[in-house]
Parts: sequence; structure tokens; C-alpha cells
Amino acid sequence: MAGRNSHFSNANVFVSLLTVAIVLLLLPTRYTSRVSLFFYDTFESVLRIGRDVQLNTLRPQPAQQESISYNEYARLWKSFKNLEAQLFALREEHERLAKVRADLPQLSSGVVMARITGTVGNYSHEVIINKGQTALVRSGQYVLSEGEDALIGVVSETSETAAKVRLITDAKQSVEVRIRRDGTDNDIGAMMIGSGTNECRISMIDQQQDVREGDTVYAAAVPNKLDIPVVAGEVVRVRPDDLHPLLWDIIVTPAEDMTRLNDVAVIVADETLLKWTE
Amino acid sequence: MRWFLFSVILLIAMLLEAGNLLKLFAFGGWYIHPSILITLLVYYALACQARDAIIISFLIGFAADITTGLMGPHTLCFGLMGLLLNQSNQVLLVQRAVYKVLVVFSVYLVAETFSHWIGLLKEPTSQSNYYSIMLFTGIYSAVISPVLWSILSALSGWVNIKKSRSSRAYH
Repeated sequence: MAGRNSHFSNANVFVSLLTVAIVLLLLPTRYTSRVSLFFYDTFESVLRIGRDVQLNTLRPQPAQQESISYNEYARLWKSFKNLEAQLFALREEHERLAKVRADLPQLSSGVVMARITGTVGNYSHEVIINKGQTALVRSGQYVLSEGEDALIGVVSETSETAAKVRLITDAKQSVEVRIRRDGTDNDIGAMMIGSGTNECRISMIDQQQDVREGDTVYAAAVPNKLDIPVVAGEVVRVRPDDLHPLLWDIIVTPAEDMTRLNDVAVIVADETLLKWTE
Repeated sequence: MRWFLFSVILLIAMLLEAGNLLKLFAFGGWYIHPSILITLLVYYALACQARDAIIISFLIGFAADITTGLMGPHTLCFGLMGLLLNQSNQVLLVQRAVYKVLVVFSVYLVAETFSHWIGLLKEPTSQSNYYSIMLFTGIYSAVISPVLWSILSALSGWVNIKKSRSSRAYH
């Protein structure tokens, strides 16, 4: 009877809230996502509780004297691969000395270090970082691991003081990559898409292309976003595509273990360049 | 109903849902961890008066949307599920732990499935293993729900829930 005595009936309350929910659903994501980012930004310190413990428990036991730790091995492997990529890029540049881009503005980019505040939901491969538009972080910028030696994702949404990074393993994330092999001139361009698990997938590669397990996958250099190729992962499985037998279905394991991420580096363009492009 | 105390409980649930603390208890390659908000939805939808249950369900849905980053789908689905649960309370007596587990599991699957489908309208995605992750999260959430249920029952005196079955008329 309480509902009858008040001004609004239960049905009115329900219909009103349902309308609000529908309006919320119809509003573009670029407006509504700010609410979520604001929440993550406000409660950053509380949300981080447990992350350090989580990272420590995931770390492997100390290695024996003859071998190095997994982290050290991973760091050396990525450094080696990146040096190779730089060498490759320099060789290409050397061969194109005649092409001078004098008419174009000088592109320069910097790096903003950010800390991961939390992850978004159970289903998506997205993380929230504690740097946003005030630190020149913009949507579409590439995000590297803490050592700036491996691509981990791309900034998808930003607010003033926080941003959402979509990891390369997310099914919605695609990245232009180059597949290369040590000691050869093999260099195949492709698009890499996250699989929604801890792997990525490359398809639409003709079976005539020589791709093998162990080949290194680099994020391709993109003007204003990534100056030189950076290692993104390693080919772990190559087999014919079930739906398109003439194409390869390639599985790539990311170079960086996404569960161990704590700090990341966002490649940001120079402020003057941003103003120039705007 | 003491809305301030309910807001505090909801905020704690949101922080647990979005934070890293529950991930310490995650398992498997998909890092499955339980959902707290779904137990809150089922508990308050069954325990409260119709009007409170409706408002609370939409609020919990809104909280779920904030933690997932995609606004709208959970608000809509949790609101509707809350209404249905509140109505079904006239025939559904959820007292034994096994019933709580079953109800939470069923509600989670239905609410998340519809939220996912509605979410696809807003932001198309082809996330593989979605339904597998949902199934295991549902099981995990349901298994721990009796514990959370007991905590919420203990707090119900503070929140001052009005358990009246006479106000369920929707007119």
C-alpha cells in the first residue's frame, strides 16, 4: 500500500528508470565512457590494492646459478629483437638516402610513463592507466611495456587524468605488423588481431609466403605513433586456415606477459605537433 | 531503507568488482574471478519492497556498467531482472544455500547474456571464449554467493530493509 500512497507509483518508477537506462544505452560511448574512467581515476589507490601481491605471486621462483631468470631472459630477448629491427630500419634508411623529406614537418615523439590502475571487467583485455589528456595521452597512441621494448596495446579512450588501453590480445584490437626471421630478408606485412585469449592471430597471409614458427612479429612503424618497429610477439603456430585453405592461420604469442604489467610507456606526439595536426 | 548505507555497500562491491583484490583468488588461464554485484542484485531484489527493489536493481546495473566501461546494457538487464526476481518472490522462497547458488547462477547467465547481446548493438566485438568465461564466472559467483548472502543478511538491519509483500502491486 505504501506505493499507492506516494506520488509516483511503482510502475512509474520502473518506466522512468527504464527510460533512463535506454537513453544511457543510446548515448555514444565517447560521452559515457568518461563516467567509467572517472570512477577508476577517483578510486585508483583502492583499486590497486592486491595488484603488487598478484604480480609477486605470478613471478617464477629464483633460477639456478647456471641460468638467468625468466624476466632477465625476456628482457634480453626483446632487446636483441629490437636491435635487429633497428638495424633493419637503418639499413633501409641507408638505401633510401636520396629521399629527403624536407617539406614535411619534423616529427618528434616522447614517452609518458603511466601506472596501471586496474583491468576492465572479466571479459575484455583492457586496462586503465593513470595518465590522460593532461599528459598528452590521446586515443590511438601506442603503449609499450615498462622497458619500452615491446608493444602491449593501444589507447582506446581518454579522460583528463586517465585512459583506457586496449591490449593487443583483445579481440577488438588490430595492429599493423611485420613478420621477420633472423638472418634472412623475410619481411611480410600483415594485420594482427587479438584473439580474446592470451594470444593474437594473423590471417589473410597467402600460403606462398614463407612464415614459420619462431618468426618474430614487429609492430610496424607508423608515422607520429611509432618511429621504429618494436617487437610485439613471436609466431608459435602456423597452419592452413580452416575456412580459406589457401591462406595461413598464424598464432602469435605476445612478447610481454600481460598479467605481469604494472607500469607502461605511452608514446605521445610532441605538443606542438599535436597542435599542428589539430 | 537507509540509502546512504546501501550506497556504501554498493561502492565496496564496485571496488571489489573493478579492483585487483578479487583477482588474487582468480583461477585458470582466463583469470576467472567472481562477480559480487550479481549476488547483491539477487539478494536485494528478493528482500526489498517492490519500489526499493526496482531502484536498487537499476543502481546495481549502473554500477556494473561503470566497472565494465560500457554504459547501458547492465543497467537495462539488471533492472529488468530485478523486477522479475521481485515479482517471483511471491512463489520463490530462497532460503537453502543450494537454492541461492542456483538462483544466482541462473540470474548471472541470463543477465550477462542479454547484456552482452545488447552491448553488441552499441559496440560490436567478436571476443572469443566469451560464453566459456561467462559460464565459469557464473559458477564461481554462485558458489560464493551463500557467504555473501549471509553477510548481506547480517547487514540488512543496518540498511533497514522493509520486507513488505503487500506493496508488490504494479499499477
